[in-house]
Amino acid sequence: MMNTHTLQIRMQAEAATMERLCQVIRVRGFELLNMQASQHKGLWDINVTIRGERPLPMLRAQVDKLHGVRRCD
Amino acid sequence: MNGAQYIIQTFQRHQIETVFGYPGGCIMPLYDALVDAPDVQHVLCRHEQGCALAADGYARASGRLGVCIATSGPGATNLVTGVANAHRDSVPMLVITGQVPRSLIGTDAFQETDVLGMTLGIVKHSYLVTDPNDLPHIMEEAIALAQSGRPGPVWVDLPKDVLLSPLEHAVFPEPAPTADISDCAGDLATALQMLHQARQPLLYSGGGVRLAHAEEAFKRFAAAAALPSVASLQGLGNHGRDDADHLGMLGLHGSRAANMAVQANDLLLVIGARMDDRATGALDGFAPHAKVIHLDLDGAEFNKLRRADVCLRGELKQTLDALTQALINRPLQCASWRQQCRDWQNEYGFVRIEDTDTGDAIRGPQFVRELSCRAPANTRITCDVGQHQMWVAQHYRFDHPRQHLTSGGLGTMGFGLPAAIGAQLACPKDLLINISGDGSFMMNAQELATLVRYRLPVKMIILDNQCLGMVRQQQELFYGNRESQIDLDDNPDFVALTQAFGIPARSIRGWHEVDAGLQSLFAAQGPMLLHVAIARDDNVWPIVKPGQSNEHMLDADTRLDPAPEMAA
Repeated sequence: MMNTHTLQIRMQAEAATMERLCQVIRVRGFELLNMQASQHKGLWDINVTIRGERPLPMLRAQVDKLHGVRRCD
Repeated sequence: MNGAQYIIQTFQRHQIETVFGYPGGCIMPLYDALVDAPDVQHVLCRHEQGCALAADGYARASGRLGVCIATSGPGATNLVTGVANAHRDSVPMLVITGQVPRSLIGTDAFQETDVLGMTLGIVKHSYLVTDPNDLPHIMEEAIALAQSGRPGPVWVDLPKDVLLSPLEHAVFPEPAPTADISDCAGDLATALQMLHQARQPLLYSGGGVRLAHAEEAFKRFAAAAALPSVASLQGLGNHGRDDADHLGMLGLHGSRAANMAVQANDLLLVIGARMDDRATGALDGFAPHAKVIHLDLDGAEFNKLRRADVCLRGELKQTLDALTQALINRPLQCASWRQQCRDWQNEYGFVRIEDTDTGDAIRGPQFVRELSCRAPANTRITCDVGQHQMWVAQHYRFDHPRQHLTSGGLGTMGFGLPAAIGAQLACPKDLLINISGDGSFMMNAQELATLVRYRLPVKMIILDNQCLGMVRQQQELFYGNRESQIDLDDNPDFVALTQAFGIPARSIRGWHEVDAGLQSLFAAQGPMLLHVAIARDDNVWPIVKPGQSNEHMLDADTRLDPAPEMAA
């Protein structure tokens, strides 16, 4: 069953930070519905709304593994 | 000091003595700096994929960082398969590529590709260095990241003008301390209680044991636990050659004994294995009666495919040592289950090979078993991908996981020869044997020239069935025997091909020639090829039909002929 989730992520600003995040969301089986992001003092604060059938903890665990992720709630 | 010189000094500072690469336009400043660094051995392969796979073999055999270098554009794209291979099997690797100068990035310049974007899914992390003064911390972080936690490839893309720019502060930062992420102390007691309560516990280990450098801790644990055990492809060797409770590989081409134990156990103790689909078969039928205890460093592996009742996250050495001590103090009681598994092993394991009379024909499984019996203790085997790879996994008895270098996650045909080159350079005193199929060998045959250039005594065996055997087998079994694009009967003369590189070679076609063939291989001082002609229609048995659970193993007697339905 498709479920919709919202994640708040703080990541270090590096080359391709946003692409890495979007790629993990897609590859791990979720569809990106909405994304809002702002950068301040070298950190991205990102809110994403996603939809997918797989368990959210699985995606969070993969996002946590990305380099420079400070928070993923 | 410019950026290129800084990178070379970083290699020296980290005792990186061997790198694999291929020069070209945008990486030329680094190659210029290499001229002044005779203590860094640069191995010039004949294709960038060979560089990446050789670096992979070097890292797998030694446990050290593998390094590969290429130029921008096609140099970088040719690395991709080798880097993906390292990523899927968590091999520590540093990838260095040149990039067009910063002012030309995004202008469709000659040999420009968006390497950073292209490789996001096959690296642990990657960098595009846009400021020369970022090099110190990026290089330090890249080297640390590749080797820490769950290892993997880290890619550093370097614009040519960054390589040529002087560094304002050529400092060498101290490595950051590695964070301890162990998070399992409270669950150890629960795990031990479950182990003591289980009547039919089974140990299932994987490549994580090798990645964690926990080989000895694992053997101590296995001895103390005295459990029946199975291993994944990457876990072969974890138990050594002589563990009577070890049932071999589980899964798609696992032994009947191993899969029967997996189906029957009531507690699966998973150590450094990720329960991939080739090991588990259909998940809903995998270990259906078992509770699960899962030990891993990577928390993302927990509950990914199979829910674990207890997750023990942390460095395997520490966790295993703690469990070992507890089990020495209070051993497990599962004698009847151990005996049951030993009986299965005697009846259904790879201990014996079926006594089919095939006359003088050489059959892959028997040949691999003969090789395993006769090869010296310091032998390391590299494989390509296909039937020969599975025959090696089934019938070669490995004493250590670094003895068996095989492409597991990605399944890269062409892995074996360059991996053997890297492994031989890492372990010059060991006997390196690459076992290939005729399809795989042709994927990186150009690296024969690398063997000759560096005088590497790698021994090569081609099990030649004149076709893509694994594909042919699945077409036979699951696609109504409709053969499609698998014939390789126009292969070159492999003996003549190898001799053209200046490497001795001989061919054998009958079992009566095996003894002399192996003797000549072991006696050769330098590299040598033994070409072994085998039957076209031999299959790897058993096999689990794709999409089914491991209890549905097919063998030569129970094959579906013709296939009643197409594979999923």
